[in-house]
Amino acid sequence: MGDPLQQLISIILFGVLAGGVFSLFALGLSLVFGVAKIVDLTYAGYIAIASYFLFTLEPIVGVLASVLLSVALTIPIAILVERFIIRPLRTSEIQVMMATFGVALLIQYSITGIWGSLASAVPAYFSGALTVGQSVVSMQQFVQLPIGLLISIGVILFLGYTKHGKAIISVSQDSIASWLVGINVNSIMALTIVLSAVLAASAAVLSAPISAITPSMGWSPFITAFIVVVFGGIGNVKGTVIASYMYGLILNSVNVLISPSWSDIVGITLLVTILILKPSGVLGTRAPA
Amino acid sequence: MGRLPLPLIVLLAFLLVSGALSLVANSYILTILIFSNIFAVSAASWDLLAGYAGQLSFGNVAFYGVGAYTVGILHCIGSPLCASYIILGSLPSNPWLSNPIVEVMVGGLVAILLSFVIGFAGVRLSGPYLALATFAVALVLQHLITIYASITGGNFGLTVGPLFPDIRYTYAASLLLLVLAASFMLILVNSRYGLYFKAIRDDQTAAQAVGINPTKYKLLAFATSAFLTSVAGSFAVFAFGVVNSDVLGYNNSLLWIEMSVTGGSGTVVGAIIGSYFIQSLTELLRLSHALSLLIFSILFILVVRFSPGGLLGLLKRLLRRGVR
Repeated sequence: MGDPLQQLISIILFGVLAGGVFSLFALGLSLVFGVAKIVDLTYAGYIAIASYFLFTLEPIVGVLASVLLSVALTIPIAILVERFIIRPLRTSEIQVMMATFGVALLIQYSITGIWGSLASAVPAYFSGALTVGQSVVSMQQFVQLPIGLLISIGVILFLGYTKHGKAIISVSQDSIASWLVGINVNSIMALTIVLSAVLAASAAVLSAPISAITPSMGWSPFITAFIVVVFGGIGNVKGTVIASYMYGLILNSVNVLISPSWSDIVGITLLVTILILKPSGVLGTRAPA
Repeated sequence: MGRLPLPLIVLLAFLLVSGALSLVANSYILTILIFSNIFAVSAASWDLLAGYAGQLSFGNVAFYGVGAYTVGILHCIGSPLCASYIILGSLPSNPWLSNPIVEVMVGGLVAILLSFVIGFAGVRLSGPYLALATFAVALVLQHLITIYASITGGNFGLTVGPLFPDIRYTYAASLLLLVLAASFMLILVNSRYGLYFKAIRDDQTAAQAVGINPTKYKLLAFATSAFLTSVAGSFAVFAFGVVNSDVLGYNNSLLWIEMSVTGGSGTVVGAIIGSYFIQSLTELLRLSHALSLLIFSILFILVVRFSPGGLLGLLKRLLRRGVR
């Protein structure tokens, strides 16, 4: 890796790829945490449980059906969590956070109980590899980029141009005013949470084959997603997408130029610094509530 | 006795039962009781910070780790136990550095310094933002431990050997630690500082309006919590003789939150009850570790959802119903 040009290529290539993955994980969180202002820690649980659904279903029903089923199966969980945990506690941010934290642990421990605590592997369902310069990227890793971009554009269009998307934004800005103009606030909240669970599960099933799956696997992407959401500005979905790619490039610069073991430290230090110096995010304008 | 508040009666009863149990217990049960005492101190320190001052920290384990590693590293300087695998062991030894009290105090001071860094974030951030920021600081420390393996022993950790010759002494010391820490915290929260903490937690703007400086008291809450948690971490090293990166695992932070909330947050005593309750239930349900964790998370959800006062609040309500 001594050649500077090769270093640059690999920083940009892997940075952009990582950005695609980050955007996948961060979009759902941006929606539920940033836009709807619900601190739903179950998010980490959705990531893990969807990966384990894929692990179990893939040998039985095949790739396409198992991917769709794994995402679909998180929907009833999200509906239950919204109806029985988040909705009754919604007036207290802290209580929602604690209770959903309990649910995330419940999911993690259920996975441990059912599948065991050892790491498992999901076989890659996109085969082949691409070669760019001296860098090799597996197809499974590469497809996350176009899919991430597609889903990002989809979410931004959904929020800006559809009736339900606009309703989500309006509830996040003023739930009482939204209720007055005839928006069913409870069902819009439920929709937001289900949508975020679906996005978390989609990100999980796409990236599960790349690394090993463990019961506690959800926390790491959750933290990354949180960093990216804060980086891009709370409540700013476009900012989240842009921040994902910036963060991917920053982390991979550290990876290549310093050492991979420093990349997490740099990321987390960046998060804390941003939170303290500019809580509205580097790309954001609104201050967090 | 009728004048004593319920939490204090419950606490005294707990300590009496725990002390009596230790007289007849074997070393297996004593180990559980020692862990309960150490975690009771950590959980109560978390409660002081989160339950009283409203600073929802998810990374108190950072302070525990600082306390543990300070003792580990200072104790390893010049120690033949460490000489075989890290450079520290071959340095000349210094009687000051291997004095347990000095080690605990140094650890506590480092933890207080760290708490000012985190507390500075606490002044700017609230609720979930602070929670995630503190969580992140603990993660950074764990990475640093792995990177500077030549000092910290990496994942393998440091072996310092237990301080006490007999596990009964360890138990007695842990009980003393708990009594001292709990008394200190109870005095603090029942003084005007406790009122300032609660005022900031409930309404920072209103607290500011009546002349309470939120920055000052948030930092005070952070420093107190950090110091006590660090002492608990140091003690754990003295008790069991080893320190490794597991002490910084986020599981510990989460466990203390579970303990404090299940026992009843905002009471100090609740955290102690929670620690004993969860530790003993874990041992009773030893049949399956996963099952016991599952039960705790369900219990935790039920407590947050239906009985925010925790077990202590439940007891209070039952007693009140009994009196009527």
